[in-house]
Amino acid sequence: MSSRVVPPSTRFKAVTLREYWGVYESSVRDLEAFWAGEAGRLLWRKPWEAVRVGEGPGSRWFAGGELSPYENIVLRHSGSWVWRKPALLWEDESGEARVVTYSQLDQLVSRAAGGLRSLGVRRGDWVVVYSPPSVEAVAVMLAAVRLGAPFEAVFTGFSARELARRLRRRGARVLVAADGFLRRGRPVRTLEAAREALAEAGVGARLVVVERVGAPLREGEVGFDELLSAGWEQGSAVVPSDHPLFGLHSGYEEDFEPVTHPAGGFLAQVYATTGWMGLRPRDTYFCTVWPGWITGVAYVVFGPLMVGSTVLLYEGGPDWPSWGRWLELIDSYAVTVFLTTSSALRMMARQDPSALRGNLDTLKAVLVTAEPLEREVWEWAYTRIANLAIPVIDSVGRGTVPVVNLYIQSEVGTFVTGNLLNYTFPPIAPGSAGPPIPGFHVDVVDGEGRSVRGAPGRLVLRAPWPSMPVEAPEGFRRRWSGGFYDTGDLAVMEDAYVYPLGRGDVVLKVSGYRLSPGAIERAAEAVPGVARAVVVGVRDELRFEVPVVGYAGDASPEEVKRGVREGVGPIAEPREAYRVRELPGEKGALRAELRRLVREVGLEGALARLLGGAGGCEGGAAEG
Amino acid sequence: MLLGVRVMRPLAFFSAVPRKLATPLGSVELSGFAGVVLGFRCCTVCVDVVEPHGCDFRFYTHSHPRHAPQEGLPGGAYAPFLGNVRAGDVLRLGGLTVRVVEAYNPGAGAPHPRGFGVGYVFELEGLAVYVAGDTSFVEEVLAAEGADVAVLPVGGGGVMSPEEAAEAVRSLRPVVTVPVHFEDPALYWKFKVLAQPYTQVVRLG
Repeated sequence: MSSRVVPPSTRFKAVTLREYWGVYESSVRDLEAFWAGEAGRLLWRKPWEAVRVGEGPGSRWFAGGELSPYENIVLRHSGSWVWRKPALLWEDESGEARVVTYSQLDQLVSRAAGGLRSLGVRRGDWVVVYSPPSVEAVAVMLAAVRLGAPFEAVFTGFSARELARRLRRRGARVLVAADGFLRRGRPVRTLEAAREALAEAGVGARLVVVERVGAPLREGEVGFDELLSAGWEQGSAVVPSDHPLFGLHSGYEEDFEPVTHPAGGFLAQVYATTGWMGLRPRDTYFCTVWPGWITGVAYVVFGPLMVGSTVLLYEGGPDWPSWGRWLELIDSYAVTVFLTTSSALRMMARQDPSALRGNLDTLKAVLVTAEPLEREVWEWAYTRIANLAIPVIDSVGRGTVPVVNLYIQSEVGTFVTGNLLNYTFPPIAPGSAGPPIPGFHVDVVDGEGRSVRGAPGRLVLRAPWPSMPVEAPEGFRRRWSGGFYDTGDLAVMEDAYVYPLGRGDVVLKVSGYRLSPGAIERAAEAVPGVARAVVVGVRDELRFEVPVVGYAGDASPEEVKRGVREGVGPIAEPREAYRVRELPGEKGALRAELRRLVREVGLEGALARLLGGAGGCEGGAAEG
Repeated sequence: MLLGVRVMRPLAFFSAVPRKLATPLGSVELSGFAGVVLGFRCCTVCVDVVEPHGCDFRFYTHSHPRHAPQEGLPGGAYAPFLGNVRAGDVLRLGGLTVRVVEAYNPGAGAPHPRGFGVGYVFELEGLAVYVAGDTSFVEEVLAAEGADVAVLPVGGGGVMSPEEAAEAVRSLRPVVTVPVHFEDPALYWKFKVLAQPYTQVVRLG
């Protein structure tokens, strides 16, 4: 098709759709053989006895196999030239920068692991991290891995209450938190939230504080330097393939629910996909997604380090002092692969072009994650960010290197669709999230489970994947029916290409992050004067979707918005809160009906028809 | 201490490029056109800092105005024009080892003839920093092979061009390279494209 694009850069090799189909169909024809081949690239201490046992959500891969996850991430580079090269680069808003080589990272991890062990962390214990991207945060996550202890990174945009829920559900042994960090030029004080969460969780976890703002520690709290002084951990835990490696909380209708990935299957998936999407040891890679979200764990802590790339961490706001900040970082560190979100590109596209400074000539690709990337935004990114100053034939005025959108979901653990610089790269279809990645049997189906093409349907996986969660909520298991897994997302599939459309259920997708309406409602209902609340996602030009709360009660809209901001976190703050006369019926049915009406008649109409009208929205909307 | 406590300062300014790069064993900070302040565990070393403050040791590569004060040179400094260092020397200052290496442009009429200036390799506890000074990519530069951090001129003219500096990087393979001695950013851009596969380029400002 003429609308498809093959960027003129020679830093990757494009294939025809026919060649793509050949590779892809071969992979899904025998998924077990395909993934066994990929898993064979890991370092196993004991070979697996069966590639897969069990069915559907109960599938377990590489059964009987044992491996050291830490060896597969960091130690695999020992003795190679990678050992001496930078593993992590870090910068904060004040311009302080750090570089840590693989060998230095290993030393740091060894000491952090020794410290965690001295605090009682044993194999299988959970370590929770509440920190912006930093060398210390990555080191602690890897230290947990080294001990065979699973970890969960919690996004610092989540409140103390949400952090407490995660600590409680994980039964965390240790919480590692930054005491604060700079964001948009001002200190964000995370230590207060960490202390509050620990008190609320009541799990008796020890608090390790990464001292950034120099807040005085209280008795019983452990400073990061003190943690490092406890001794070295020389070994690296060897665990069964299905041993829990890390987890996160994923947005479901009623709440954020814990999802835990297994060591063997996840590492096989993330190692393969990281290499396929373009990373090599020579690359310097900048991912703007923070650990706490699946992209920020899979493709910051794990994949790039397994490959031997250099990972740039930026501890600061994306828009301070301007939205050109990330481009300046790409320039300063000669970044070769840039990964960001569609929402960020939408925001950047709206800025004064003069603010978007920085020479980007080292880029070989711009990768995009987490949500639909509209054709216009793709075009902007291709023309502005991917259009390098360095001359490449045919690139004048338009793009030089690929802008590639990829689809990911927390439960799958890695990217599932997308053009792959180092593997299958058919022409880019702007607006799509590329074709299914080999090894993932992706389909779009109608209500009866029949494949549909060229029309919206449910985005599903027709076969289990290696990183099948070893812990997942009931809602995840319910999504398995008819022999496939329903991702909850809607999409159109045309030729090979998948065009995600957003959620097909009531779960929200805000700036690419999956938020639970139930969790937001609970926070709203905790506000004095709010009897009941319901949340619906409405489309937003910049963030794709934003929460809107309808509530019954006497509280003011501002109080409700503040209650959600403080109860869940700034990312969940409703764009608007509407006071309505009543909230009739069962909550699940109400959410679904409200969502349907919002899409059919718009927000105001939906509120008027279903909830008796809006009486308290900002700006003084009239009673409906 | 592998990683010290870093206490944030209030932000009274903003820098589009990083100001200071720290490794677990030391740090590099730019000062002026081609000067650097090296923070080792033992001491602070200033190289080609025209207005030095807080330096335990002061080194100069040559006497040109953007590299050394033209009058009032601080006492105790090391510089070829003071006659107390020359290529091939090895100095031991406490735990710090300083290897003095050649820095020159070959050919007649060169702005930096052989013997006029030098470069330095500073070594302490596993961290080696090479400050090249104003030099072409001459054979003697290879004496700095194995340095972890290279501070290389990339501006061309009387120093390495971006292409030459990239060649030096391919030979020396430093872990990190900090380009200096350029005014036109296009020279940096050219250098980073050529050099980045062989080192980690970090632009300081």
